[in-house]
Amino acid sequence: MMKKATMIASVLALAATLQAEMRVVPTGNVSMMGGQYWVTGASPANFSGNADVYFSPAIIISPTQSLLPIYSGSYSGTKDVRELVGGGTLTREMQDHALSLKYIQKYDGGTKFKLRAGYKVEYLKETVDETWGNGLFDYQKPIIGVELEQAGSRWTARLGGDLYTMHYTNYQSLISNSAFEASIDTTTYSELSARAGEDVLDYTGMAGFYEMGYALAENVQGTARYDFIRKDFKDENIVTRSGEFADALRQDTAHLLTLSVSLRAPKMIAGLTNAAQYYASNQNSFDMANSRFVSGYYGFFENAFMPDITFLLGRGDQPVRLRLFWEIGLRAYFDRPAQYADGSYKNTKVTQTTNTAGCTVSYPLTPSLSAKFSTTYRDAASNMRYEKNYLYNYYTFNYFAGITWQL
Amino acid sequence: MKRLVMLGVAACGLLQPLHAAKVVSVTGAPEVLVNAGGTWHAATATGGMKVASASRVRCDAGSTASIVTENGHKLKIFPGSEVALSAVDGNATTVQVITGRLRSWVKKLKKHGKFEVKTPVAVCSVRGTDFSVEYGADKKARVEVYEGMVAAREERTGAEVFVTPGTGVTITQNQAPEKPQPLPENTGGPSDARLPAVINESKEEARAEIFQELNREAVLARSAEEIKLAEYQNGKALVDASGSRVRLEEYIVRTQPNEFKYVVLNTRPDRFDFGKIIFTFNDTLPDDLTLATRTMFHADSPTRPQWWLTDVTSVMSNTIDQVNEDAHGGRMFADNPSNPRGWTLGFNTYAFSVNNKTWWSYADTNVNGTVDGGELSYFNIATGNKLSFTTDFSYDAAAGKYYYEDAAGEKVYFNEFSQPGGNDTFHFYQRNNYADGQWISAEDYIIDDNGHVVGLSDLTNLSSESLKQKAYESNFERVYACSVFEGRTIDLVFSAKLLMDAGMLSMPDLSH
Repeated sequence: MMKKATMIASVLALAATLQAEMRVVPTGNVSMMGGQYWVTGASPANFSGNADVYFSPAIIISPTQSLLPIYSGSYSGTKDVRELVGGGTLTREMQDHALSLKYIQKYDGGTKFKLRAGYKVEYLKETVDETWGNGLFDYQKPIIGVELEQAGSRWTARLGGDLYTMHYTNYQSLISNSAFEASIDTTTYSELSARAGEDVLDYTGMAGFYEMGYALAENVQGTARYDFIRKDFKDENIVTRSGEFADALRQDTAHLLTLSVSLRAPKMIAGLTNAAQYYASNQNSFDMANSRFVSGYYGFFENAFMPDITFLLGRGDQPVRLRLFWEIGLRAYFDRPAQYADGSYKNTKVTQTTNTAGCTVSYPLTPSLSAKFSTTYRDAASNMRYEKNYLYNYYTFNYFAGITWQL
Repeated sequence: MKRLVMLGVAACGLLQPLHAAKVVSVTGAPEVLVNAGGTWHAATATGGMKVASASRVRCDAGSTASIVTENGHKLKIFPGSEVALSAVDGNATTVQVITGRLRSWVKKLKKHGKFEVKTPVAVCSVRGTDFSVEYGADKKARVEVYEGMVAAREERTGAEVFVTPGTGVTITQNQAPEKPQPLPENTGGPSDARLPAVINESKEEARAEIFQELNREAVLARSAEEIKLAEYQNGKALVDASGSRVRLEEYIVRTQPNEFKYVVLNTRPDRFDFGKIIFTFNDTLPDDLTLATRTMFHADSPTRPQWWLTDVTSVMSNTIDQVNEDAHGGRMFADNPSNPRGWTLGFNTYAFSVNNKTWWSYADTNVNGTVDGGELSYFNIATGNKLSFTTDFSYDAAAGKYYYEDAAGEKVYFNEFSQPGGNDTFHFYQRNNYADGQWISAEDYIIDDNGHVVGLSDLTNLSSESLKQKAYESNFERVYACSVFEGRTIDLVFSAKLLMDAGMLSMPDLSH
């Protein structure tokens, strides 16, 4: 009895200590913008709105421990020029919501250890008959991750890893539909269903990254970051040369290397960023229309180079920010052959270059409220001329205006 | 020599100006003004940037700067603040808050030492203390004390209050300060002073952590986007003529060495349709199917192609009703047997059936590969008897069509054809009226991936090559309706190219 009372007293004392030291620091950001976009060969999309929000009541448990419950969400009624322009659909709305919990433990010497767990859902409406919750590409993603950070006098290094699953709730292979099972002849159904899989887009992802930031000079900061992502598809079998399915399952890996340098001057911040991606997959494709097997359909190398500059105009404490950027990108598929407009194949592989240029003006109204205007232009050119399924050659333009509020 | 040494020391002194404080950490883009009237420079913590007395430091809404004086006092300048480091050398430290908020951690002062924070309305003098002073647009100074004690004096009246740990006071010009009040929760208290600096910057730190989180999420989201991108590029996600989602999956299965099966599955929110075609060839098929499919119906060559179709059986179904086509006994016929230039496939027999009953059939009785008189047969579904155009139908010479009369005595033509969307659109309607109210219709649409029905205006002035390209970029949608379907339809979308290459579909010739 005495022991129990002591334990309760200890717990209460600990709780009291925690309560005494603990404090909650709310932080957040809300951005609401409205605008339109244009894409080759289509009428301007209707005026629509985009909104982004994040909020976190950061809990400072003690000088060395903190806990961040984070909500982030967005709604998009129109497309950004960097989104899937080529797969243009009649209508398009997107919303996503993510809840995560991040625990940070600090140690002497500038070391931080972080744990995180989160859950994200994304809903899409791309056609007139899709409603929230039944979009073909809706997905759910639970994730757990770990990170180590070490800061030195001139540098900061971060190393982390995540484990997550992607579940496309409404995307199952059609052959797995019971309506077909009952109506297609038994032989054909068993032939198709044997390896066609069901949740063919679902995968387990493993992601790792290493980032190093270094002060190259008093006003010059350099950052190098490497990301690795591996996707193990749970139900997508490899397509064989004959157009059928093998026993092996699809595996994709992506390697991304991002190098950036930024220069700060009294009235300006200038930056250069280069991002390279190597994407590999063991999956092939069989072009039914041409009865042609395409080995390594998904693999590509991509590089994007982006200079950007931000001018700080007016008052020092609340300057007007004018940002200009330009990005030139190249994507080259390793094995995917380019096609002529009629679908016949060329001897060259698919390449695509993109030019993107943009301008953003942020005008402070109060210390926490800013008016914002942004506009972006992009054009894409490719040797892929068969555009029945996807637009490889296009230009697109958008503009948005709105406000950003920071808590 | 002694003089030289003295000069050297003096020179060193000139080259090494008095630096009494240094920047130890920054976020955002704080700036430093070294000389009044000079230019602002970026403040950086790299190498501990030195700041001398009379310097100014300012932080915009996204910046902070932390400075440690030679005596070990720490100053944190908050976002949207500007301070003048009036004196940061020697024992006396004086900092002027021009606007915004400054927090100070004051080390125990040496004898005769002084630490003062001034605002236009208040002066705060302290010892061994952690406190903050804020001066804003309302012309009031806000003093909060977390540890130690602060004497806060209003400048004009000279009235002074002592602010103790966990309390704060707001000082208004020309008014004696009121009694300090306890600090609200979460704005810092006695315990706050014990937190390391990084915790005191909790808001900025939380924001930085959130940005890291969002950036990591963005990397994964971009990677997920690749999956969707490929689905579009593969043409598996389409939109039909009404703007609704159509999913299309096509499969090829090699069932025999000389045979492959093509299956297309369609789903919409409220229905399922599928098609299946079994292609049987005269010879074992190669790995590359195009070698066989390109000549399976026709070949322009003096020699007979290696592969041609011997049998084709197909079914289109809405999972309840079905339309079957069966062709057998395929062989290649030369255009000129003595000097062939081309070869065309002809079947020995063909049957068109609906729900397992044959509606019409063909038999190449003279084995010449063409349809001749008497080789076509039509059937009465109710009786199973063969229809006779002589006895079961009459001929309307004016219309040039056969017809029968229904119960009301109205003429029902055997063939009907129209373009419901007008002559400008590729939406065709065909209907065959058999006997006794039995009929079957086929509506054909040529649509693009966004469900737009292709029209003549889309093709006008296109070269034959562009016309072919347009056709290849389109989808073919066939909708069967029939008197025995009880109001249901079979509605199937195909990629047009396979059907066109196979000779099963062709675009209208605009020149005719």
